[in-house]
Amino acid sequence: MTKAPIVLLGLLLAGSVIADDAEHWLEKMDRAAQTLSYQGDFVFLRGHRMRHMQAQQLIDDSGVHLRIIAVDGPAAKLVATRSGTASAAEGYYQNPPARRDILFPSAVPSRLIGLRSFYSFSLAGTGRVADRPTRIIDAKPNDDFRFGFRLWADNESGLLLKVAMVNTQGEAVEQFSFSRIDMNPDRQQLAESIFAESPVADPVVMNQGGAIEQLPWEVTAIPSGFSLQGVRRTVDERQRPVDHLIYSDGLATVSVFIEPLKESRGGQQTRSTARIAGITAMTDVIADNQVTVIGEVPAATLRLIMNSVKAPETAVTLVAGGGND
Amino acid sequence: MKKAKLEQLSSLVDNHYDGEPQGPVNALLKDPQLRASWQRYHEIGDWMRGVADGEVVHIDVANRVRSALEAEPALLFPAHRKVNSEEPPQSRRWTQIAGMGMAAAVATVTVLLVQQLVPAAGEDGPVIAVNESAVGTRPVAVAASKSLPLNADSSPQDASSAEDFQRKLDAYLASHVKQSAGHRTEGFLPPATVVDFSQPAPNR
Repeated sequence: MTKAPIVLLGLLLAGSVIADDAEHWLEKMDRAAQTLSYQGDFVFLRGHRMRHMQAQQLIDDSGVHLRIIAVDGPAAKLVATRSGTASAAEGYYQNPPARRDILFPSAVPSRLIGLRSFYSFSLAGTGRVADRPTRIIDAKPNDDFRFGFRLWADNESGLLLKVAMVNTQGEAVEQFSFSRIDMNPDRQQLAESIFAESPVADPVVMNQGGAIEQLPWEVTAIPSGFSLQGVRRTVDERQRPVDHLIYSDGLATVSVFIEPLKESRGGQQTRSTARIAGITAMTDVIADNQVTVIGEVPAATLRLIMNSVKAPETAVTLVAGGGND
Repeated sequence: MKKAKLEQLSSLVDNHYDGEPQGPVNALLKDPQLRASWQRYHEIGDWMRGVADGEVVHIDVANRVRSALEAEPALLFPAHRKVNSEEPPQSRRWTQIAGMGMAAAVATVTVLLVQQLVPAAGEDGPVIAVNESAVGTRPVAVAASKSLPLNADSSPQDASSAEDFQRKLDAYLASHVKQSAGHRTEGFLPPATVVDFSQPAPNR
């Protein structure tokens, strides 16, 4: 009888060791992404959409430099050099992402480490990616508000070679995988290739509306780990304002769009939910406004957020009444 | 290269593959020759459908949408628990159907990402039909695709509204992808990878 607690304790300790091992691999992946020079080909798969890319990364005394080009479909290119800026050659986009947001080998493990309280990490055996043996790590969400991840780390270096985002049914909705990788590239050639690309000094800024400091709307229920990243206001084709609230937990982003209903619609309401691969959209009417919530998260997350959107009058009334929030 | 693999690939491209897509997709990921064939088959398919290289032709979207749904990805690991879904089974089926429309929207968004918040009117894109209903306290899955008839009591105004709504969804998705670029875009890809440089930049 006295052995039962000991066995239980043993099992708990074993579980703890396994979790530590998985986290160790996440840290190893993150470290590898910051310290390894490499070049390789990778593919991105979402549903039936597939794109092929080439990536080159060079580490020197001044930091991490990388170049990514798309080798099929629309031409696309991204270069980030020692200047600390990331930019698209000959392209147009604004708000170049921070360096750690750019390339998947570094972004995903580090973000998962930052969100460790929302995921359970475990080792899931071994595999092979880009003709290299890998260790497989699962990151399963502890709640129903975010998707999970399966990661394949290079056995030797720890570099993340493949990632799959997994929905609540356990299906991979996005995959990102190296098909070839060279971890001992000719550094001189690598440097010439990367630094030959001159970053766009002044990227074209598209019309995306402006940031605003405060919004009369209130979203009262956000899943743990998510926070408000920004609020923007644009106008639609009829010059009506469209407010855009952006929430993120570092891995997934949820957008809330709010715009007044057309007057001609009267009391009729528009509601729907749609899903494709990792992106879900849900729309409803709240206080004569069309509210649309979109994100790479389960429908439960969108529903939680949607149901907590408070119109200005509602929010004021609640505050004035001193009642529940 | 084995003939069987090529046949599988061709079936997948043509949307006639009956089995689990995981096998041929995995083979595709590993085999450069198969990838080349994949690309070639798509080019042939595009050419047969009259899709010139680099052009934005919405007729191609429907095929991609259908393929996207049927090539639903592999089961990696079972859910840790049942999702607390409030949707009845029928709603889930509607959600799947609605996914066709959303996939079209995503495809449109991807190609037209450099366009501004509201796409040009009159584009012949897929439509998410919107079911109008009374006010409820919770959002309900009621979307349909263009391939389905609108509700019997739908009016021209409803159809117009559905088109408006589809355009709005396109615009919302584009804006969402742009604004989430700093966090996670197109499966951890940088935003530049979804920019089509062949398109003119509107509203600079």
